[in-house]
Amino acid sequence: MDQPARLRLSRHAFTRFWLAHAWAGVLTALLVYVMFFLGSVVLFYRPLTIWEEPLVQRAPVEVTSLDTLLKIAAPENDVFYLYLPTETRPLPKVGYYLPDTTVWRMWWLDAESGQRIPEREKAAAFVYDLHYLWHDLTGFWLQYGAGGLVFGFLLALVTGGLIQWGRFRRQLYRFRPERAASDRRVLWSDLHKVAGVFGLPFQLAYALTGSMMVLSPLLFELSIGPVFGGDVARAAATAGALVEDAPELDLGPPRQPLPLDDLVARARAAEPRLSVESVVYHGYGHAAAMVDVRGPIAGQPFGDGMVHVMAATGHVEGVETPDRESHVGTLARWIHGIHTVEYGGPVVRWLLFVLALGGCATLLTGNWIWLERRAAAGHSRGDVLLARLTAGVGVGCFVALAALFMSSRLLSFALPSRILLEELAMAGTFGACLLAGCLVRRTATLWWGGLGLAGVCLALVPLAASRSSSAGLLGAGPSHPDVLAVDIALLVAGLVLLAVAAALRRQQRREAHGTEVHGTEVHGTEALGTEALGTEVHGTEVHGTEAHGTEAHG
Amino acid sequence: MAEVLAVVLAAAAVGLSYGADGPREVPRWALLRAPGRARAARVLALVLLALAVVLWNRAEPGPAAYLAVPLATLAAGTLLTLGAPLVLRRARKNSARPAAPQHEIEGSPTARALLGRSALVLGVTLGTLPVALLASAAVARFLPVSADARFAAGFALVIPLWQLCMCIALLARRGATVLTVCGMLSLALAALLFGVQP
Repeated sequence: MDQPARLRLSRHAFTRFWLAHAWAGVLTALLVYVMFFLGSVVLFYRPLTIWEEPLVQRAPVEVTSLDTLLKIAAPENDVFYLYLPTETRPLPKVGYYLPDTTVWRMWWLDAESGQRIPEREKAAAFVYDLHYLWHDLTGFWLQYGAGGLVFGFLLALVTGGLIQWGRFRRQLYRFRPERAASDRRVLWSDLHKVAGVFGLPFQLAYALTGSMMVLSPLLFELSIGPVFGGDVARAAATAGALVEDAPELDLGPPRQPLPLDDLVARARAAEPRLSVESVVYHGYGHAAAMVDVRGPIAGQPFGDGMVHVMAATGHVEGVETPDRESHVGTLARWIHGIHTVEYGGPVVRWLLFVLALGGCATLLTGNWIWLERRAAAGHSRGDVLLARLTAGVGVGCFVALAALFMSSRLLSFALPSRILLEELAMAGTFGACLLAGCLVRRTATLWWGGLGLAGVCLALVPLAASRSSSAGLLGAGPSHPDVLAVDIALLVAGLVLLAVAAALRRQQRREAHGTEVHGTEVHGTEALGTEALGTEVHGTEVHGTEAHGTEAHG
Repeated sequence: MAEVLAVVLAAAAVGLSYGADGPREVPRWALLRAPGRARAARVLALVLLALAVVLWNRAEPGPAAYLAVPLATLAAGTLLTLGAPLVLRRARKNSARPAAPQHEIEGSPTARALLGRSALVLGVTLGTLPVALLASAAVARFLPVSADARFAAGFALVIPLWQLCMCIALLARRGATVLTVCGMLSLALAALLFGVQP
C-alpha cells in the first residue's frame, strides 16, 4: 500500500477510501466497461442509422400534412411518438410501446405510397439500448440495475479522487512504459492514473447524468408519495420534464381531437422559434389528451424546446424553452444535453470518443492492477475468474460489435427475422469470447486473436456494405456523406485493431522468447498482467487469499 | 473550422504544460529549462486555452465552448501523455526498479470480524440509501422556494447526497454504528415527510 504520509487524509480515511475504490471498481468495472465501450459507438448514432438503412440515404422528404402521416401511422397505442423528417432522419417515422408491454416498435412512414414500412434494421438502436442495458425482453429492471451499477462506479470515482487528492498534478503526466518489461504493475498503474485523472471530469459528468437519466422514472415514482402526497397529476405537472414516459393519468372520456396540423400550428404560434422535429401524443382520442411538440429552438444552441398543447381544445398548457422553462425543465435539459452531446457537433463527439476509450482503459487497468497486486500471494479462484472475465469482456466487446456490423450488412433485408439474427450474432459472439476467456491457456493470445478478428471483420464491413447500398466507400452510385464517413471510420478502426493485434502478438512472442532464453520462471506480470493466472489454473495450486481487506488498487 | 482551430489551441496548451512539467520539477523540454521559461509556458498555455474558448464561442454561442474546450484539453492530455513516450521512443530499457514488495496479507478473519465487515458494507451501501432518498425528498417538499425549484433541487441532490453519505459512513470504525445512525436518521426523515403537512 502507498504511504499515506504525504496526504492530508488520515491513515484510516485513506485506507477506507482506498478499499472502497478498489472493491467498487472491481465489482462494477466490467459492466461499466461495456457501457462506456458502447457509449463510444453511440456517439455516432445518427450517421450509423443512415448508414444501416438504404431507405433513408436520401434528401429529407417534404411533409405537407401531419394528419395524413398520422393516418398512415395508425398507432395501436394512444401514447406514441411521431418523428418528422430532418437532415439526419430523411423519412418520417412513428414509434410506441406495443400495448401493455415494454416492447418498442417503429415504422417508417412513406407519405407518397401511403405505406407504413416496418423497421427492418436496428443495429444502431440495439447498441444504443444496450449502452444503458435496455432490452425489450428485460424492460426497466435491467435499466435500473445499470443505474445502480453506475452508483458503484461513481463511488469508485469519488473515492479514487479522494485518495489522489493533492497528487493530481504528479499523476497527470506520469507514464513510464520503459518500466513495463520488469514491472507490469507500474504500466497498469500509470495508465490507470493518467487515463483516470484526465478522464475524471468526463467520467464523473457521464456517470452522474447517466444515472440520473436511467433512474429518473424510478425516482419520480418514489417521489409521488412523500413529495406530492400521492397526487400523480401534480407530480406529472411539476416533474414531468424529467421522465420520458409520463405516468398513466385519467385522460377522460373519448373525444375527437383537433387536427394535428392545427395543434402544431398553435405550438408554433406560442413559440415561433421552434423548429418542429417530433410530436409526442399522450392519450390520443381522449378528452384530456396532450400533445408535446418538440424540436430545437433557433438561436438557442444548447438543448431542445417543447410546447404542451391540449389535443381537444388546442389550449397551450406550457412552453419549455431554454429561456421560458421551469427549473425542472432546465435540469432535464442540462442532464440530457450534456449526456447526449447536444452541442459542439462532430468535433466534440470525436473528443468524447477518445475520452470514452480512455474510460475503458481506466476500467480494465483497474482490474489488472488488482490482479497484479495479488499475484505475489497467489491468486484465489475469484481472481482467476476475474482475470478471465476481464479478458473475455475486454476483447468480447470489440469482436461482438464487429460481428453485429458484419451480420447487419450480410443478412438480406428481405429476411423477416434479420433483427433477431443480428442481435443473436452480437450476443453469441460476445458469449463465445467469454467462453474463450474462461478456456484459453494464455489470455494474451485471446487479446491479439480477438482484436485481430474484430479488425478483419470491421475492415471488411465496407465491402459487405456495398451489397446493400451504393452510397458508401465501395458503392457504385453517388456517395452519401454519412454512409461514406461510417465506411471509412470502420475501415480505419479495422486497420488500427489489426495493427494493435500484430503489436501484441509480437510482444507476446518476444516475452516468450525471453523467458526461454533466460530460463526464468513465468511470473504474475507476463503478458497483459494475467498470464500467471493461466499458469496457475493449469499447473499450480490456487491459494485462497480472497477477501483480505487490504488488497486494493495502487 | 473555428472549432478545429480551438481544439488545436487546446492541444498546444496541453503540449506546453506537458513540456514544462517533468520528473523532479525539471521540464521535459530542454527549451523550457532556463529559469522562468517553464512558468512562462504555463501562462502561455492558459492564454491559449482562453483563446480556444473565445474562438469556439464565436462559432457556437452558449455553453458549448465551456464544455468543448475542457473536453479537448482532457482528450489531448490523455493522448499526449500516453502517446508521447511511445512515439518519441525515449523509453530506456531495463531502467526499472525492482517491483515494490507486496503488502502484507492479513490472517483469516474471524467470524466476528467478518460480521463486522459485512455490517459496515451493508451500512455504507444500503444504510445510506434511505437517508439520501428521504433527505432529498425532504428538500423537494420543504425547501422554501417554488414547488418546481425545490423538486429540481431535491432530484439533483439524490445521487451526490448518497455519495457523500457513503464517504462519511466509510470513515466509521464499526458497521453497527453506521447502521444505527442511518436507521435513526431515516426514521426521523420519514416521520418528517409522512407526519408533517407542508
